[in-house]
Amino acid sequence: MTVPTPAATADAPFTPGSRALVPDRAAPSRRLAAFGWSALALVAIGQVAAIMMSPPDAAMGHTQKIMYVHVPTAWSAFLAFFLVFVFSVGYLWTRNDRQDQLALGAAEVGTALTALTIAQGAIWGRPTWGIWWTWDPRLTTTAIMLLIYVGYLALRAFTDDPERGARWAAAVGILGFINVPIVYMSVRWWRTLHQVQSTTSSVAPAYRIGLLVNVVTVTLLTVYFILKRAESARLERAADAALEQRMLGGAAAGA
Amino acid sequence: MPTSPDWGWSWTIAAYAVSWAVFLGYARYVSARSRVAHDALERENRRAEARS
Repeated sequence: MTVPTPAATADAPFTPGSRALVPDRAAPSRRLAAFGWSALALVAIGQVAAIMMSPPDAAMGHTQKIMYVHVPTAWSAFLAFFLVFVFSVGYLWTRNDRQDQLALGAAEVGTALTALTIAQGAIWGRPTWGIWWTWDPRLTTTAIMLLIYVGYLALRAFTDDPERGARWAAAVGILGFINVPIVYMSVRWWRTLHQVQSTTSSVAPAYRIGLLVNVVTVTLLTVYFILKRAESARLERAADAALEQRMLGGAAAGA
Repeated sequence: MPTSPDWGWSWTIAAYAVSWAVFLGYARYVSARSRVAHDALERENRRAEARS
């Protein structure tokens, strides 16, 4: 006996009776790709402009220019983890896969950006502080934040049942966010080596516009990364479901 | 510590090089994941079409 195998779509992987090929909306979005290229170009333009237009700092020399990438990267990591929290709550509330895929995208991007923030900080710290790393509260809480979200990703990777993995990950995404405000406030609560966070209101006027522009452009790039990773998660889930459906159909046909 | 007005360029270039390696590497990684998943989905649907 042959069991009809419905074709899958990214949005409706188990629609019985559907035999349509992958619809256009399931394909990687061209508009999203264009947005990504634009964001990358804007980041490049913003960085070159800020680097060329800002004078060297009296104490830090040209290493001050690392701020234009370090601060936006750190800010974007915070934003990504906030989105993990929001989408995790959304998923537990609605059980909508889209929320889970966005949470996954935000967690992966936030983790990559946190690791990058630590690397940029080390490159800045070596010439400025004389050390690559120290157990300063800001650095330590950031490292803990990185470990929490590496754990989040590991949990997702090692859970066989996607629905259960999404539920557990959502719980970690909500609880893990507790550390994010601690990281942000650590430079104010424990005044040690790391200076208070640089914002557009705290830096010298000569650096203000450059910092603002780069925060905006890196945020756009972060949004692109999150949407693109969510898109790939959606397509992967649909492909897995289609494969599973075929296997089940094959097993039923052989029985 | 700074020894001349031009001090610090090499560290700055290193920080930007690492940053761009991550930006471009991640962009490539997510695009590849999407493409591979889409190809797999299309393949499965073609099989389903052929069998039905």
